[in-house]
Amino acid sequence: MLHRSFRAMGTEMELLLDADSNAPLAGAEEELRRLESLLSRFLPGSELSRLNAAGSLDVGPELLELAELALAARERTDGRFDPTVHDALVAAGYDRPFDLLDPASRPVDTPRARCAGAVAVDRHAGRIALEPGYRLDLGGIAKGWAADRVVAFLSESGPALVNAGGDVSAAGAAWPVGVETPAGTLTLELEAGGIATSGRDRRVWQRDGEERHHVIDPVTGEPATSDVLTVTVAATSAAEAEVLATSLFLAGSLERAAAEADAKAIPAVVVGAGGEVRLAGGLS
Amino acid sequence: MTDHVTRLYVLAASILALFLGWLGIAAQPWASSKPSAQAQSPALTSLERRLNQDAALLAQVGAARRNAPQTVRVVTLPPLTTTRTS
Repeated sequence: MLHRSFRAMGTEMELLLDADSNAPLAGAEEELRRLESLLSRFLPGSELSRLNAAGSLDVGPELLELAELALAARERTDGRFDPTVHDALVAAGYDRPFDLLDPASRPVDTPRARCAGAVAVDRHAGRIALEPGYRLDLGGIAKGWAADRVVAFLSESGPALVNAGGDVSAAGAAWPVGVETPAGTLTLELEAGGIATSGRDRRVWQRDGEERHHVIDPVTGEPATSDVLTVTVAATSAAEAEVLATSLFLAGSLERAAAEADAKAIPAVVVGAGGEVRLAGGLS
Repeated sequence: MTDHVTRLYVLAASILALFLGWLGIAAQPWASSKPSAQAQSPALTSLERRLNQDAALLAQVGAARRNAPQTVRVVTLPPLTTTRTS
């Protein structure tokens, strides 16, 4: 089993490939770095940053596809997953790469940001236009999408798995993937598709003495409050798993998240702030 | 002379009859013989409703299957990698 790990897209990347040659892993790393250079909201020269600065831009096929995917996810989740939470994240204090955030209080005089902004994607013209006053943050879906893209490339050489900072995409074999819970690590076996976790156990910082996290509730424009600590979801792709995990996290409570996962047959591990662990959506 | 005129009349009558026959066929009188929509409406409406219900059910099942990977289950193996909040 070949293994490669490195840092990209603001997180740890891990590639596993059951093959003889390391060459595909090098190609996969290169692709992930290329995608970061296009999609990061923290790199001033990225395509996404230029779009956010200009409000309207002719973009390449990657950003076009990802924006369409994110907007379709917003539609499908009744607005819970929203790619226009950029300014809400900044208002909450997440205005630079997480590694550079001051974990202590760093008050920011930013008014409460609005979410659910309009985004026009013109596939034929290759152009994206944002409603004035809104900017895109694709951090909620880009890593899963990138993992799916790279695993498709790697799986041409053999069974493969990509773990993009917790967003796991796998193909070609049964892969045991761990889920951290207060009761210990639970292992899910995944043959194809993706697993992702959304929560407030990581990417947490302080602002004005209050704990803040990166999962924005588009209804309030603030970090979500509920008794859910994390939601892990398995789906047909890592990107879809990310969307569903965020959507369930924003269900409002542990009970609602588990009930919704059951009703929609979404395999999920829901962990409550008190340490409760619920398996839902067919997992047992 | 009389025979000649008679032959002309017969020829003209034949052409007229042929023309009228052609008009009759072109009008497709059988096309209007199907039952009225109103007469079929209850049966068709019922069938349409059932088909719509089946299609909706199929869409729900399809969506549930799309959400769930074909093979994900809890196992007791040690993990090769771990998911976490991303």
